[in-house]
Amino acid sequence: MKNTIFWKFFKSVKLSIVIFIAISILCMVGTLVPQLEKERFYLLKYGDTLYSFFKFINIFDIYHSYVFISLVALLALNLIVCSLDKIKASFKLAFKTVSFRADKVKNYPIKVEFSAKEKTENLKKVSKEVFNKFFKVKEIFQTDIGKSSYFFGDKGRISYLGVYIVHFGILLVIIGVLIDSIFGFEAFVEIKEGKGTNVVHLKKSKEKRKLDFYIFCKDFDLSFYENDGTPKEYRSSLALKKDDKILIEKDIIVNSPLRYKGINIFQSSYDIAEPKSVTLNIQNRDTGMTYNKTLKINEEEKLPADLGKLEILGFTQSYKFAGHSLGPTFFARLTKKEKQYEIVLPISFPKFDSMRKRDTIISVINYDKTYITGLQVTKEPGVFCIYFGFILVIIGLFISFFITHNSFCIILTEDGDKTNVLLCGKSNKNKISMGLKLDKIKYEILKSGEVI
Amino acid sequence: MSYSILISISTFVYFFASVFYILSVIFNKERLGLVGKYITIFAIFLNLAGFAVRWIVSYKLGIGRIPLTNLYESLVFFTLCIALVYIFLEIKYKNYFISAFASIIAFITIAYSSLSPDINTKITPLIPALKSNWLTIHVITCFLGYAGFALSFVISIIYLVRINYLNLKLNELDEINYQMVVLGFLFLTIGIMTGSVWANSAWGSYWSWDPKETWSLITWFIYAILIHARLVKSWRGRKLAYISIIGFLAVLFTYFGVNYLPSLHSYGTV
Repeated sequence: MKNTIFWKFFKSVKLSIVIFIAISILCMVGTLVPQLEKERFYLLKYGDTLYSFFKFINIFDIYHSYVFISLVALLALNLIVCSLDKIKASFKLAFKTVSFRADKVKNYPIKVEFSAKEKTENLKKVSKEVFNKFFKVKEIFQTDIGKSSYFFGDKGRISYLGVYIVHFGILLVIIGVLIDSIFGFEAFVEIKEGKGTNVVHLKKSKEKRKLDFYIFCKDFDLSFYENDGTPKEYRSSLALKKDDKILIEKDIIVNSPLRYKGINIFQSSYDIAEPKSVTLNIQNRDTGMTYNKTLKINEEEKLPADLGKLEILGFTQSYKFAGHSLGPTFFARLTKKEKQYEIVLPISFPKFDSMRKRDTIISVINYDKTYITGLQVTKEPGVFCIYFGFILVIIGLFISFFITHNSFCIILTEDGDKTNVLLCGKSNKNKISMGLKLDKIKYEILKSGEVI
Repeated sequence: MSYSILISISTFVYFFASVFYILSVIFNKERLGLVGKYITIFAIFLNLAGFAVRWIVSYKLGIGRIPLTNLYESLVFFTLCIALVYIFLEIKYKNYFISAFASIIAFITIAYSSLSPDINTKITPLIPALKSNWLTIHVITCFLGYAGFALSFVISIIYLVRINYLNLKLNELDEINYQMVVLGFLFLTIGIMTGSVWANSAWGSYWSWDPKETWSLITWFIYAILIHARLVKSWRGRKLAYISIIGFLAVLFTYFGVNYLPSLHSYGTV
């Protein structure tokens, strides 16, 4: 197997780097070309020919294009093959029993040599202490060969396994996303206060999907910060019902969704429903008399005191006047003596109508304000797989970045009243640190000599 | 004392730290570098105090949130991260050269936050989507990651120009550079993942290909290339320095550039 062309191709890290670059380039394109817009938008922006070409290579939904998905699949395969290729060797390296060989130790790349005015016997104890202080290993291997005493230790071999944990974690993330895209869904639904539904609209396919329970919106609340009027909280009181039985109730806000049997319901947006009736204040400018009257939308009614007939024509969430937004506004038509006047009634600006300078001044007192809550409904069976993958990636990165395989040896060689000391170290990662450590050990050994 | 005054003072203190570090490098006097170190520690203290005071003030205004949610606050915090990382490197490797360059970056970052007229320093309340405990860990990890990459960028430039004053060997510089990449990569990874978990708890979608998300992924891939090239292909030195510089440009684009693209992360805008 390992000798096939397939294996050799997929184990190569060159392939990984090429895939990284390719995915990055597609991502860049995806952030420059607006994604998932309407056809008209693209036609205006790019023109006919470019549009058909872009559409053909699926550039408007680039992250779900065949090229992108193939690259991710290729990456997954690459990840599996290159990990399998080396995992056996790494396991051996991580778990083999460490053998001490004097000739090997002396060839370690980082060395510090000095001589201490102390007998070897005295230095042995110090060496052990220093060893424990700077290289906390389970067991110090100690042996005497000829005139030399060796203290040897080895630790951090587990660091060779970190990379496999990271790769496995990434694989789990990819698998989780795959599970979600096959078995999960992302949908949207708008529900009026006091109403309920069991049909949601799938985002990707624009199809409808029936849930096996009804979502009821009992109430929707919107609150603002006092100082500057930015929204503070959107809150929907929801109840899930099945056969008139309440399954679960919860007030959801952004960052606190409702979760029930694998289905998650999130606060996503809100809207104000078209009102059915409105209560108006009508003032007669001549007499100063005021009346309150409740009108239904699109039903013409006679006003008192012969002021004419009034019909509410419609409602908008925000009315623009001379460049300013006046907020929610009603439109009405006043018919008086065969003449018609168009009237604008912004709810927050009751004096607006008096600018008309006619004999009636009309303003809105209140209206039946019904909110519509916009909910994101999702099912993500793969999310635990993804989160577990995240945790593994982080643990794996810690192991492979911060655990270092260090081998270290102190060699004491008797030389009359003096002792020649040789410190040898090897590190698979942090060579500077190892060098600095050896310098510190030298200092400690020399210092201890003076004390004794 | 007001946080903006504290931040303004710390801006100048960072500047003086740079001056001493640069003098120390030019005249090869270690004592001047030591002065730079103490000035930096003072600047960090002021920077941290500014951060804390702003936090406290937000409570007094009845808003009560950690100051990590707009461009001004993030620049202040970014400076703090850069300074902490370079002072750590300085203590560990006893080298003022990296500090000299890094302190200039810290100075520019914090100066930009308090001197640029386009930046809004007002404490504004949190929009509903940002009200989450994930905010803190997401922003802190991302900026620690960015700080690691900023240091790696600085070291890469030093490596490429190979200035003579350097008392570090090039291979040692290369190794410190790699350590900074590793630090940045780990924290960027945690940052991306916590962001994803947060997005899923706020909007019900752990990844929505928003430009900031996408560019953080691009950044992640660039540094992943660097790490693989070094560990598997044993690339060293110049080549890696170039990749690190490209990576940092991607970081800058993730941080500032995407604000010119439509995005969920709009609080990063001015």
